[in-house]
Amino acid sequence: MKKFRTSRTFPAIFALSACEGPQSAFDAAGAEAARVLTLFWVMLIGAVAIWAVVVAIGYYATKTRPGQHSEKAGLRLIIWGGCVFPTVVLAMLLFWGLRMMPDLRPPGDGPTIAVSGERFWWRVAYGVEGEPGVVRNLPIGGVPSANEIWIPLGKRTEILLGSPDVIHSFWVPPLAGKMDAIPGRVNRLILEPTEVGVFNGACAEFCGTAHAQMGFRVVVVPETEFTEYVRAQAQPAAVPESEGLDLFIRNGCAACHAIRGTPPDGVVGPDLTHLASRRTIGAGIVPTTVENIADFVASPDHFKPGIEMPAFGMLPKDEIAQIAAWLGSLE
Amino acid sequence: MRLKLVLTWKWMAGIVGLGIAGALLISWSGLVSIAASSGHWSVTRWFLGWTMENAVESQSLLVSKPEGLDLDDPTLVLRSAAHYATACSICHGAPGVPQSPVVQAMTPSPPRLEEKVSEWSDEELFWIVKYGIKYSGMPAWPTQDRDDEVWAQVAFLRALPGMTLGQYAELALRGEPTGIDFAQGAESAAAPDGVVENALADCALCHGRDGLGQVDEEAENAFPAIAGQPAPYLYATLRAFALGKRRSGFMELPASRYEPKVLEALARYFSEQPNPALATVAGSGAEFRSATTDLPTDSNAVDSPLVARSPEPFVPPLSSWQDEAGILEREDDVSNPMTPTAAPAGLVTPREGLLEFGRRIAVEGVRPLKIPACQSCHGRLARGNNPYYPYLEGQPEWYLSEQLSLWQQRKRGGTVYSHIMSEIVQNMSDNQIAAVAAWYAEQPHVRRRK
Repeated sequence: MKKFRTSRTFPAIFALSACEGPQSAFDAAGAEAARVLTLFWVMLIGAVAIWAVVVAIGYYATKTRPGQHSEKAGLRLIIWGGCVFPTVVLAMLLFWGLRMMPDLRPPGDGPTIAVSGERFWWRVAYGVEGEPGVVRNLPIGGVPSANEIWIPLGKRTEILLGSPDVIHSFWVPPLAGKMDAIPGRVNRLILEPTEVGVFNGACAEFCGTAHAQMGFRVVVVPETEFTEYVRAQAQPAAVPESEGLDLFIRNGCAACHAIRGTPPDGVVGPDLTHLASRRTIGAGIVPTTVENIADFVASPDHFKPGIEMPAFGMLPKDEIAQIAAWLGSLE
Repeated sequence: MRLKLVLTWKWMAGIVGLGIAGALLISWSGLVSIAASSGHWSVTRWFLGWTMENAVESQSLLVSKPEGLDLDDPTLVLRSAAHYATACSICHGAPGVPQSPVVQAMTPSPPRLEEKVSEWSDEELFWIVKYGIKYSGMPAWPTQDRDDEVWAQVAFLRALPGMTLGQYAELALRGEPTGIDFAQGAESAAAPDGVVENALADCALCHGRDGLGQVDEEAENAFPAIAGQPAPYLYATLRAFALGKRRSGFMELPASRYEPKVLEALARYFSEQPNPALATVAGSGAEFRSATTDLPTDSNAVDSPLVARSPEPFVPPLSSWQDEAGILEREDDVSNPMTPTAAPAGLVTPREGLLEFGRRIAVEGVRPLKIPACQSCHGRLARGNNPYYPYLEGQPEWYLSEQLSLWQQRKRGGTVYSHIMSEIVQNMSDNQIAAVAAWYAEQPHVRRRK
């Protein structure tokens, strides 16, 4: 089975770019995704083979040797080909699949990260302690971030998933299968990356108007780098005083957004303490640039229809520019 | 010889066509009597009146009085008294105020209401006040979004029959010098100062000259306090009323009566009036919202950081004041039927529980329901607030909850900042609205001046 493991073995079939890249399940870079991909290939090739045999039998019976066939031969075909063969094949697949399941969710041996799917972004907290289960909320605490999740290479990172509003689904195709984020319960997903890199994640359960704009990035780095990253994220804001901060407070942004090390401590929206260290803003929508931040502040609904953040386009342009410049400096 | 008349479809169509042509001919002839001076034939008057009464009776069946509404509430009566004096009494008269001979020359001429209101039920009065009556000169309420104001007007109408001249003058005219001189028009030849003085008298009918809205001892808290609100907020709000961006039958009238310059003077005047609810406390303004979490709910705690105000409130230059509520349309664009309805944290009945619940929402917010702390924007911070964000302490409870409900229904409107509230209130339950309104109303409070 080894040769079916990745799409690189089938460059001719999967020349389409959509089948490769940071958001492709055919480009497995995680333990679970690799196992699921193997299962997929085995089933696909087996299904194609069986389909070919069925078509061949049909051709033989109608074209090569039309006319009456012996009852005995027909009965034998039905019993062996129609009953025994599918039963054995399906039983084997079931056995294999069931055997695979515990391996997909072994206990984590890396960090635990809480991820909350919220319309329409992902709240992230590193280094929490908590258990999955029903009638439960995500553990609080940890180092807050949003929309970008760093995980260490070769470790089984435990992702605890929840939601305060509607059902979302957390999916990083190259790393693992989907897992729902359900209000009132905590689900668990193990990410065990086998390659470093930046991968795309998406919400895989329709959750509202900006469902399609509810993405995120997963950054896989060596463990030392991961530790360093979390330590940096735990630090207070890099630029704790500026005119931009004053405007941020004066206009009420602090009601929803926290910037640690400064007075703003809102918890409704994403933590912006290290906004500029993230690759994207608006949950994987656009690259983090000062211009994009300014545009987002002025009309977030243009980036994400139905977003709960009110538009602040009525603020004077220079105020928005100052706020954006300051946010853009928070690395 | 017998004449046979068979009624066919062709004949019918012909008759109808002839009728229409005849009617057009009469109108075209220019001989129809439309003169108000000639009045109606008595049969016409009976027919029109009968039609109107039937229509009001039938169509008011759909009106239902809000639960808990008390039309005898003096606050409700007072809320609409000055509006009656400025908008209704010119046609309908009032105790001690005769109907103008001008309106008496109308056909139909508007009735004096003291004798008339008893003929209608509450719901019928509501219907007439809200929708008006076509072809009679009776206008609809200036906005169709403010049923609370219409009910207040109905409460006033109910109180009208027993009202003495003195009571009416006290309720509606407040001993203000002239109020509105309709004969000359509010912006007549008077000097600019005179116009502002006129306008001020207009405002003072309800909000008082001190802007505290405590004009009557028996009906405290009938009006929101405007004293000490930031001038840009007051100006932008007045302009929003004048432009119909914020809806209120009471406020649109005076706000549209004066030009922006006069409104600016009014905004400045009221922003400079002292407001005990906003007493400055030295040294306590530096804390941010979180510093106020253990705030006592005692209404005497004037020296709490919550109400601390920076000694020099941030006021931008006038040139940058915003008045056109230009982006209000966006409110609807971002509306989303899937917004989760807030699950209230149980019904809080005792007053203390309600106040504590309200305090938590105002000071801490409710994170799982995505309700930010009100004080983040409405608190007084040393760093200064956006001058378009009003203070809320000591505002009447009914006023706060009504405004929040209007926002929830996306009917509130207001300045260019009002859509922010609309987004927030979508996540609030009725119980949370009641709690937060109660808490703010109890904060260091403005008592009637003596």
